[in-house]
Amino acid sequence: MSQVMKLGWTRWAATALAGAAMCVSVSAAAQTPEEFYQGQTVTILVGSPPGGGYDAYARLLAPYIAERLGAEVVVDNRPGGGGLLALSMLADGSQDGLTLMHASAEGAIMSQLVDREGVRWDVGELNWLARTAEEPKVLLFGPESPLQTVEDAMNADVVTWSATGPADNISDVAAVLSHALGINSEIITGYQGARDMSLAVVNGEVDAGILSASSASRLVEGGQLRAIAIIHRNRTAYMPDVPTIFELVDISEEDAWWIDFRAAIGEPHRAMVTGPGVPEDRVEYLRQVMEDVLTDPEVIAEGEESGRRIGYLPGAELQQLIVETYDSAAGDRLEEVRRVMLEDYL
Amino acid sequence: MSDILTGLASFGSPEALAFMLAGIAIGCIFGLVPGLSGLTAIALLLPFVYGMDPGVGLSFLLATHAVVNTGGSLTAILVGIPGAPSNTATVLDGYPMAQRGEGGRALGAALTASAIGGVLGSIVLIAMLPVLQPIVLYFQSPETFMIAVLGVTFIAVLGSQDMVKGLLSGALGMFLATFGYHSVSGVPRFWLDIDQMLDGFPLIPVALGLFAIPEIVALGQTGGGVARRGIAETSLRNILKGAADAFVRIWLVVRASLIGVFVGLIPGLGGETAPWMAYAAAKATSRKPEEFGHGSVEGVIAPEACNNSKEGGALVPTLAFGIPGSSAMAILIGAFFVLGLEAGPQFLRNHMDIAVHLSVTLAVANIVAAVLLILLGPYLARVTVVPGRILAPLLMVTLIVGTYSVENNLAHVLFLIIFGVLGFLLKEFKFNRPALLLGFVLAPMIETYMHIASRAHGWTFIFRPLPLAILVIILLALLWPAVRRRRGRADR
Repeated sequence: MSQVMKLGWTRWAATALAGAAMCVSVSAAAQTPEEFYQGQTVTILVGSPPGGGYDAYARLLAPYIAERLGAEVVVDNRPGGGGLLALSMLADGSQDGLTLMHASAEGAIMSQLVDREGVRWDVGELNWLARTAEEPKVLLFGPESPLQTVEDAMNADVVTWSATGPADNISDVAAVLSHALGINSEIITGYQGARDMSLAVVNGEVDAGILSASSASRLVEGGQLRAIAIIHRNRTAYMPDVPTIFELVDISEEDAWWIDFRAAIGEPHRAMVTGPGVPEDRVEYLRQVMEDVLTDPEVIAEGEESGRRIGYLPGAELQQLIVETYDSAAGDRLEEVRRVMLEDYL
Repeated sequence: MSDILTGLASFGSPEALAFMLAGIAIGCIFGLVPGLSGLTAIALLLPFVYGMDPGVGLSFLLATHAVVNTGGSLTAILVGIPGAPSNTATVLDGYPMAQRGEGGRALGAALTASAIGGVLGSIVLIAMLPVLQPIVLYFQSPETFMIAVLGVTFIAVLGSQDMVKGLLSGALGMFLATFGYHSVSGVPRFWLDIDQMLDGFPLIPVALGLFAIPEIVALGQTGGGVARRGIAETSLRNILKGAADAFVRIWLVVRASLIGVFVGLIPGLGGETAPWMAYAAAKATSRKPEEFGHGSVEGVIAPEACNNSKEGGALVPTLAFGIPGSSAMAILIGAFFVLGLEAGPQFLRNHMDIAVHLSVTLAVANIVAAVLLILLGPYLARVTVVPGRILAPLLMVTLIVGTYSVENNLAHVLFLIIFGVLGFLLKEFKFNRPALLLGFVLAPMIETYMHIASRAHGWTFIFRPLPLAILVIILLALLWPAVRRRRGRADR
């Protein structure tokens, strides 16, 4: 009797197990991304400590993304290597689509362009989900700087600039601008971040500086810095009165390539990205979710209020933009780009 | 004037007071637990200030952060383990005092010095509010560079018992600082193709590894508690006696506080070095320098006054320009944005009332925390009778969890252990760990700012007024012992 019961129990368990296994395999095959994300925990990596711009945007968006996905969304700050550490974690980690990063696409392109140590991914193979924000760079002079206009800089014996290091999205912009306009520049690296750099322009330690429009607008409004030109074809909503560099100076087509090329690298700016091996349907779904969130009037209004302007660009377009920009500096051009950005003015 | 009144009114609102008190309580706990720092506290609390009134939210974070050093002094003195990196200097004399039964006196002196230092820091801040911007603007790379050089000369003072080992330790610290990105060229050095090494050795695990782990190991080896003569000496009376010590040496407190304000004021100089500079300065000017390291009450007062006053200094560039004076201030600036404020030049123009509110919070939080801990001191001090073999594992766990939580990074725990072993060896062979830490923190600054100063100003930067004055002070300080010796011989 007991043996029969035992047998019965075993058979029952085996059937149940087989059934469960079938269910699982069926559901895995038919599981839509919507179902997959339900009740999961999604991590948004941020490559800088709490309190910075990337962190602020990530925390602004997290609750809205959570609502759309039906998942819990946590922001995980992983500072190190200027964001490289977190990006490597994303690329090397599990490719199930549960880990995203709010990253600097601009920084990723630049890092790969200059072949920085610690780059272990291909910027074109990462799955870019959406641009969250975009802002051009601004040319700035200090209040006491002898330079008044762009022409002054072009005619000066030497113009000094502040930067944190080579290819830091600041020094390379200054270098490209100097190359295009024929400014005899000396870019001084070693400053410890945007604040330290801008302080050096404000207190006159250097003649000129480059900052992103949102950081610059605060100092310009306070009268600490003078905004001279937007380094882009178009003006920016952050400071609509400041002319573009193309409005101020006649630039030949060949010279303009440099400014346009660098502006194109800056175009993707802040973006949501996920690993290179994430299944295609989940990438598509995440791109759709990002679109819903980043075009939601409530999100846009909340961003506006806290000084975090949303600048949405769909994931597919962003991916194409990144690949095209990277490829436009191939072959001999790449050598020249590296020389101008890393050697000529540093 | 109306700004000041509005600021005081917003400080006095029940909501602001309640959150400040909550912040003080949280800050004291974070200070008491080794490994949990003010930086961690402020980072963990940041999400909670969403939607608060700006003055309330900011003063909540500031109060929390400001009193962490006060709480940390307790752990440093009673169990010889720094609660936070800025309490490392306090261990040197506070712990020997506790061991010989003067824990109460050391506590009283430390807490009182912390309170006075904190208040002085905020007084300087309030006095400077109208003229903040020109002062911060005056400091350029040559000034920062020479102050860092001045800091390095303190290695000689700290290592004066055994000059060879002191200088070797300082040099080792400088060598360890060369790992990771070279700030000028962006080239990582000695990174061994390991991503975690790109930024070099992180400060918090290094400081806590060097100073906390060897003490925890030693604690685990003792059978009984820290205090060999029971806890009678940590009665309120003894604590008040220590408080009197601080008041008697008020000029030492003032001097140490001013060092703190000064170092805090300069962005990039890093608050962790300030207490060591104050300690070294106190030792150099003391009538009994030989007592330092063996339980000198002056050696407790100087770093504790300094580590609280430096927050007032660090707020100066934070408020004036939105340039963080320390890593915790960088998070505070993040909180500005969260609360819809903009840290920067126009902040003082538009929100002087919040600046006043913050300054007053800084002063009051420091006093409240000190009074609170003086009253609780006799109870908290009972930890010293807990047998070391029970206390040590507990401390080790909180240290590891705390270190991990700073950046959620397991590699930092590994660094903590590596530097713990190094610290243990250095302690065994009587090398100078403070000198190592000072070299570690200051070397990259000297390297970076010398580069910037020489490129931006040319080599004549040394002849700017402040750098020249500092150079003269350095030369005098280095030559003084020789002069004194020669005079001593001549007198005989």
